[in-house]
Amino acid sequence: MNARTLTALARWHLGRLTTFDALAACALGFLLGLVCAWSPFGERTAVALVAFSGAVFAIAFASSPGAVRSTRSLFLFSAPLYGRELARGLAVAPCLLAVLFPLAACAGWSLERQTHASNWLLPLVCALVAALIALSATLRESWRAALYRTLALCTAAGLAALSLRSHDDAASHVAVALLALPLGFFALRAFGETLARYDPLTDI
Amino acid sequence: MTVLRILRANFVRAGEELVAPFDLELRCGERATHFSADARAAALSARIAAAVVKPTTGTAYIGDFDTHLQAAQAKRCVAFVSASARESGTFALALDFYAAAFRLDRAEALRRANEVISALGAGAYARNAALALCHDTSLIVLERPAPGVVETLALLRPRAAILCSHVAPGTLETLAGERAFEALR
Repeated sequence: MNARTLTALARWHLGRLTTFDALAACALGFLLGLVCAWSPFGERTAVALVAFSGAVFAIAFASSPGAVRSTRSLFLFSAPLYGRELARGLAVAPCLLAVLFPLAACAGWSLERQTHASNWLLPLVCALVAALIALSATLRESWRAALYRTLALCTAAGLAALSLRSHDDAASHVAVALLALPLGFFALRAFGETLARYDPLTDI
Repeated sequence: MTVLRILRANFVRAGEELVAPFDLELRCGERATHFSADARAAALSARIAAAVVKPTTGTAYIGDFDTHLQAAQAKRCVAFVSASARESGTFALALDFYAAAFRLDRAEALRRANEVISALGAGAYARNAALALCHDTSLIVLERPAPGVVETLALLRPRAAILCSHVAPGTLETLAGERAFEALR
């Protein structure tokens, strides 16, 4: 799969997701960032709160009805691409949407208080991992889909908790990155495998 | 040259046999119609022939490619036109994606798509056909085409083999293959 195909697929997928959801994520993220900045919370607690809320938004985006329709579109399965290639292309749009909430929250926080950008890497990582795990829910029904969403949420919560427990910022960043990288990679691989085995029958 | 060979392919889902085993062989320039008892079976048999759905048992080859093991290569040799109102989103973005996936120049893909649309007219089926036929292919699979579509596409792509799936209530998987391009060749 070349960059041109990846870009074209990501643009097609992004074009089918609603802009209202993206705007709502930006607005709510910004608001949460501001509220946290006005509250007596420390930055660490605010970051953990944003990480968890951001993961919820990322899961909602990745497995929204629009994303489900788009991922199951017969049009995609007629294209000469392997499952893993489709997975990469289909992951771009949810990942882009997923990072909107934490970025907006960071902007809201930094309006009122000083911050280090590196502290806000955790919400970004949590949102990305949650979105990648939740992608597999788009090709499953009922309790199986719910199971994937729960897994995504638990993973994000686990990463946030790990970061909160650590007293050393640098060490916690490294630990979260070391965990998040393989988790994201395997989530994307699993989505690719699911796409490769999937038979598009929803419209018949 | 054989472009499509299906050997005892069927499709089973949740213990129910949705498509009974069928055989089919199609060469360049030939045309065949696969009749099924209901719309679901008609759609599935077309999708099996187009490598979009994998048969539960049996095998299907498009050119020399096994649709189960070499799905991506097999899809490169086939144009599949779905009957469903395809949720392909904005036509320009969908065409961009197909042009990239089939490694075509965008202008060339657009020219071919426009050729199909001007021949078939506006409408969801014409749009689906335009997207599917943006690349040059030796096999065209049509899912429940409207009357006249096959003849029009045969004139546009005289060397391609065309397989149609149709619903014939009360008929169980009978195959009516015919050589229809003698006059054209």
